[in-house]
Formats: sequence, structure tokens, C-alpha cells
Amino acid sequence: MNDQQDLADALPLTEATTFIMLSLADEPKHGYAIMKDVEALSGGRLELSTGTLYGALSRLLDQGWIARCQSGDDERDTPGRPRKTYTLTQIGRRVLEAEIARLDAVLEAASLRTAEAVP
Amino acid sequence: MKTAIDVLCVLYSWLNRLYPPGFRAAFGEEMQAVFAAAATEAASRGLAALLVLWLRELRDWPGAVLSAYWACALRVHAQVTRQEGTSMGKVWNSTESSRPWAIEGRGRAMLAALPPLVIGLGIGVAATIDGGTWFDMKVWEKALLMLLTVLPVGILGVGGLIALFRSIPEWSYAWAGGTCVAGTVLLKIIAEERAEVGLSIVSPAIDVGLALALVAAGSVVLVIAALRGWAQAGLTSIGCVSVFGISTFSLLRAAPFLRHDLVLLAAPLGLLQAVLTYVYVRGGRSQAMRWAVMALIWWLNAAPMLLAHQVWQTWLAQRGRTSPILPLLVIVTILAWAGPVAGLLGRSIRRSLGRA
Repeated sequence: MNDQQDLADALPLTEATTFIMLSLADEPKHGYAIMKDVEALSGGRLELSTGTLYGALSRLLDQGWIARCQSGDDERDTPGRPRKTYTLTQIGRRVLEAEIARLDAVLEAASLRTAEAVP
Repeated sequence: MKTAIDVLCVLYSWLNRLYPPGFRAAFGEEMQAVFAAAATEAASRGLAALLVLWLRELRDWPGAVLSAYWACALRVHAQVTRQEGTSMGKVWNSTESSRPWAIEGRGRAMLAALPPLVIGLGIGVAATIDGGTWFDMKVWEKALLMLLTVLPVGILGVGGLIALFRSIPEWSYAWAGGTCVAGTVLLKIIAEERAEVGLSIVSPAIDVGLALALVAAGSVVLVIAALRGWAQAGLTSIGCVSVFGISTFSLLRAAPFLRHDLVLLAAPLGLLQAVLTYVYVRGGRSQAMRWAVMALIWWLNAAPMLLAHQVWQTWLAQRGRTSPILPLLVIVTILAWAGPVAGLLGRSIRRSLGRA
């Protein structure tokens, strides 16, 4: 991700991807926490299945937009296996910011047009 | 409620087995744990919430599995491009000097080649004890005949289910394809028998649903094989077409034809196709050899249709009915070539992505 053109090529993100990245924007989270957070962020509209969630996480890891690390807390998914958490990388954060800016532009254009349409 | 959660977790672990091995190794345990946590939380809100969670998983599962296979294929493509330092066109067009796919162990190759032999032996051996019409047979003859008819389909079905639960390993493409076709043919035979007395198997809608589910399962197996490579998809097609072609012999056993002498040919034909399948899976010096084997197997399974046509045509002509030879040949052709063609289409898409 060297320049603005690369960022523009990565957009737009799908709704699920946007919400997953938004969920990771404040702090690293594990899979179940992401699932619940996405549901809360979308006002209960977007409920991810595990297949959709991990498919998206796998793609984001491949793109280098998120990273996977061991959790520092004592919670464990299975005995003997520390819980994995996911965190946004620098590139991922830039992509998310670019997507938010794009959505802002869309919203601004929509506001202007609907304001003009009012008699 | 805890039992319901436990059952759903077991079912979920079975569904998870169909993800690509790499994806499963990376996320399988985590997904299982997240599902268990989500199920426990949903159960605390009631059975309806648990059901909604399960239906959501089922709804998204096929897309998620196919998407994981696609991502896996892209990753392999990227690795090959990096390692070889060459264009994808060169990689995918390379001949067998690089042996892109072959089952190395002889034991596994023999296992991969067994489906035609299983179905051919079952039908052929059944013909030796079947001396007359269904009504003239003794009870033990009927029982033995049913056993010999159901046994090969059962063996094929067990192989197909093992293949499914083990994420369709290399030896199992023909088993998985053959199982779907055998299931569909068996369903059609039972439906026709029931229709003669004005009945359906369960109900007309459920019967059609079952047949469509089997065809859809076969299509999913074919797509998964095609994403792994055209040779693997070709082996799936071999399983489908050999089971379908050899099954035609069982039609010649029915009254009024009673051509048990011809039905006996199912056994050597099954053996011949098993040998050809073995040659196919062991690989050769060039891809042309595999195409030649595919063409030969296609012809070998079209031959029983032509034989059946010879037996049927006089009887059908006397009743003013046309022979079903043309649709049968079309089905054989589609089954024989759907795999390699799907594999090549997948290859073209990967090449386009490689250039992009």
C-alpha cells in the first residue's frame, strides 16, 4: 500500500469487512468479541455467522490489514490453547480511514442533494 | 438445552471438516469455540434464538466453504508464481514433466480406482443368481438379489460419506462423485417402482427435493474438485460416469428383457474401468494420456447405452414409443466431461487473475 491509488483500489469495502475493521479500531479483539461488537455497531442489523466472520478474517490477514496474536489474558478457547486476538495493522487503519472518508463523501453528497430537493 | 447445544456443536464440527485443510488448521478450533460460545449465549435466550443461530450458520456455510477454497487456490497460485518466477500461463500449461497432480502411493491409487469395480461386480454377480422374473424367484433368491443390488451402493455410499467427512481427500473424488450418481439412480429406480402402484417414496415434493439435493451435492463436489485442479475434477467425473454407465446393465435384467447374459458384462467392464482409473490417478508422461483415458472411459460407458438400445428398440417400436438412447447419451457425455471442463474453466479464471 504505497500510495493513494493503492488505497483507492482497495475500496469500497463490503459491509461485513467495514464493520469488522471498525470493531478492531479501538482495541484488539478475539473472534467472539468481534462477532458481538459487529452486531452492536450495526444496531443488531448485521449478525455474522462464524463462516462469514472467519472467511473475512482470513482475507484480511492475507491482505495484511489485520494481524493475529496471542491474547495476554487468561481466557482460553480450548484447554491448553491460548485465545487468539486480532488487531488492525497500520495499513489496515489507513484503509479503514480511507473507507470512512469515502462514506463521509457519499453522505455529504446525499445530504446536499436531498436538501436541494426540498421545495 | 445443553443436549441441543452439544448436538449442534457436533454437527458444526462435521460441517467444518469440509473447509480446506489449511483453513481448518488455522481457524478450525477457534471457529468451533466461537460457535460453542455463540450457541450457549443464544440458548440462554431460548430455543428459537438457538435455531436462528443454527439456520444462519447453515445459510452462510456453502458460500463460506467455496470462498475458503477459492482463497486457498489464489494463495497456491501466488506461491507458485513467487517460487517459480514465471508466468501463470507457463505453470498451468506445463505438461506432465512437472506432474501437477498424481496419487503417489499404489494402495491409495487402487482405493481411488475402486468405485467402477464395486458397482460392476455388484451388478454382474447379481445377474448370476437372477434366473427369472421377480415373481418366479424364491424368497432367498429375492433376498440375495436385493442384498447384491444394495450392497455395492451401500459400500459406495460409505466411501462417499467418509470422503465427505474427511474433506474429500485425494483418493476419494471418484467415490464422492459415484455416491451422488448412485444415490440419484437408486432414488429414481425406487420412485419408478412405487409409481407403478400409484405411490411416491415419501411425497412427490420431498422425492423431487431429495433428487435435487443429490444433484446439488454432486455439483458441490465437482466445484470443490475443479478448484483443486482439472485432473481431480476429471476423477470426480470418472466416478460419476462409470457408476451411471454400469448401472444401465441393471435395466437389461428387468422383464420382459431378462438379458442376464448381457448383465454379466458389467463385472469385466467395471474391472476394465477400474484399471483405467488406476492409470489415470497414477499420472503419466503427458496430460494427453489423461485426456485419452477420459475419452476411453466415456466411450466405455456410452457402449452399455447402445447395447441397451439394441435390446429395447424392437419392444419399444412395437408399442410406438421412442428409445431413450439420446437423453442417456447426453447424460453420459455431460457426466464424463463436466469435471475436466469445470477444471479448465477454473484454470482459465486463475490464469486471468494471475495476469491481473
